[in-house]
Amino acid sequence: MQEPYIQVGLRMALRPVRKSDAVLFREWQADLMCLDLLQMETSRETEGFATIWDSYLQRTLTMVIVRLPEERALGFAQGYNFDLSNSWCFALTYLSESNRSHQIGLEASAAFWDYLFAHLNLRKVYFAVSDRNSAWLDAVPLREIGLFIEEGRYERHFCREGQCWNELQYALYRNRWIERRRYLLSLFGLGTFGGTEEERSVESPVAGVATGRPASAASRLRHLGKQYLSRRKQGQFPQLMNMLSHEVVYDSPITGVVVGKQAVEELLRFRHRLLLRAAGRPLMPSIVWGAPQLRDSALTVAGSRDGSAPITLTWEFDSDQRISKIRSMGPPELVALYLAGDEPPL
Amino acid sequence: MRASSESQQQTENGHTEWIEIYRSARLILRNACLRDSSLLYRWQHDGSVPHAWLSTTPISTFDQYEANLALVLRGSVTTIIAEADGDSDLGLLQAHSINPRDGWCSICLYLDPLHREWHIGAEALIGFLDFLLGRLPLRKIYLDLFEPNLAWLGELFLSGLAKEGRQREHAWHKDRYWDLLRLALFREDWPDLRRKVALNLDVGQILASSGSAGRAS
Repeated sequence: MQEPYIQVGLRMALRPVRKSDAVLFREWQADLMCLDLLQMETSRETEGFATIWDSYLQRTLTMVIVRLPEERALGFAQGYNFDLSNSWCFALTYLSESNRSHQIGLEASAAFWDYLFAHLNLRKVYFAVSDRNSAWLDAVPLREIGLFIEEGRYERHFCREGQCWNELQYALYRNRWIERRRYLLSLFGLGTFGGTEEERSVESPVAGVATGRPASAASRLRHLGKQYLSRRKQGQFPQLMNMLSHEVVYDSPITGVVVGKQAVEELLRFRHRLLLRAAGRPLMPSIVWGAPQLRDSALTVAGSRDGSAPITLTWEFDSDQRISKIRSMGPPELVALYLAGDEPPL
Repeated sequence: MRASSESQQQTENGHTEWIEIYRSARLILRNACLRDSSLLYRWQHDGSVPHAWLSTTPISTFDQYEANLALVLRGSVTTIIAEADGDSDLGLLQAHSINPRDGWCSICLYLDPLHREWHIGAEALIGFLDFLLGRLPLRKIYLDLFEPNLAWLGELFLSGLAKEGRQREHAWHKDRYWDLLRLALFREDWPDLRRKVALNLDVGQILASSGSAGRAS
């Protein structure tokens, strides 16, 4: 039977946790304790662990991060301490020691946050990281785009073998996620909400639009599918190239299967369409972008505003033709403008 | 109603159920137990201020509430602040999320609407901190308070605590969301702060004699 994946990205997929995953969590237990990520008591005995495990699954919303196609478990993403009266929860992402990577961690986190905001009536999601483990926050400029708000810095919170670290507590608010999610999710070929900009804003209770709880993801996708078919019949193709994907993204979370240079070449051929986004307005109206240049293992695009000094964006690919680094260089005001946008320029 | 005589502190099988951890001329701190469930239920559903203790779903049957309370009491150090000579229960102090490995815990303070005076909160907290730091290997103690409840401790006490966190719009109360503040105290800073607050409360002698000993009634 095929596994029901909850989110499929470029490097990983999220699947629901199973009772039989207890064996994985037992393997990870020591590492989780070391990282202070274990949200349950521990037990060395198998029977004791089974009881704890049951209660743990009931108290948390846990998804296992797997690598496709072999479905190898890499770690898990988890929501815990849910307070649905006040609409918040805590979230964490864990990757086992041999699979630790900023990119996979970030992709899994983004997929999980998107799931949380799409399916639960949450206003904010907290997460706490030790300052020795906060480098992943810089893997994509999350802090710079103002995705998180630091709401606590707890001095000498963790102490191990005579060394102490601080704990940083961040909050991710629904409105900020809605505004910036497309920028992040498009990097990973992910998506949950879909819909036009107007429809997305209706989902956000902080947008000031009277609204109820968002419709379920399935019904939204059905609605989007019908909308797409209807537009295609009318000869309208509101579309946006996903730079990581061979496929064209039609206003809906279609995920790509081919990545890397082939996708980029495809992307260059359709460059004239790149300045259009689904809503039909230019991506970055105040910056004029030049032609993207593909050289060796990097794609570079330069842009400027009113003849000012240029801003250069570079995507570097690794040997598997997956994005390994994104860099932005240029005058601070243009970089800020780019970072404030909810779309990458391609 | 608070039991005040020795006989009321015995369970049917004769085990002592209540333990005083602090006593002064004005206040006692005793452990909370399941017999306090009605009192705690009333306090938890106090709608006059946002508060952050015994977090559970606000709507539940009393049976569910008691079942949950039993779990909460097992996993925390929960004490009732009571009048030493009277019959009134004044509030509650609770240490939860106790993490002996890293040496910290969190504290919640709640005061009954009729007894929201800073000297009650401050004195009770002194007794509670003495007990915790005397009995548990803690390096650091967090105090979680919603903004309007800061007055329960008085400015002097607050000035000795580091403000390390502000969880914005953390809880809904009445017509708006409220921020939850997280204040922190390190063990090494406690003696100095304790001396200042105790002097200000004019309870230095009494506090010095009861100290962190804690005793069974």
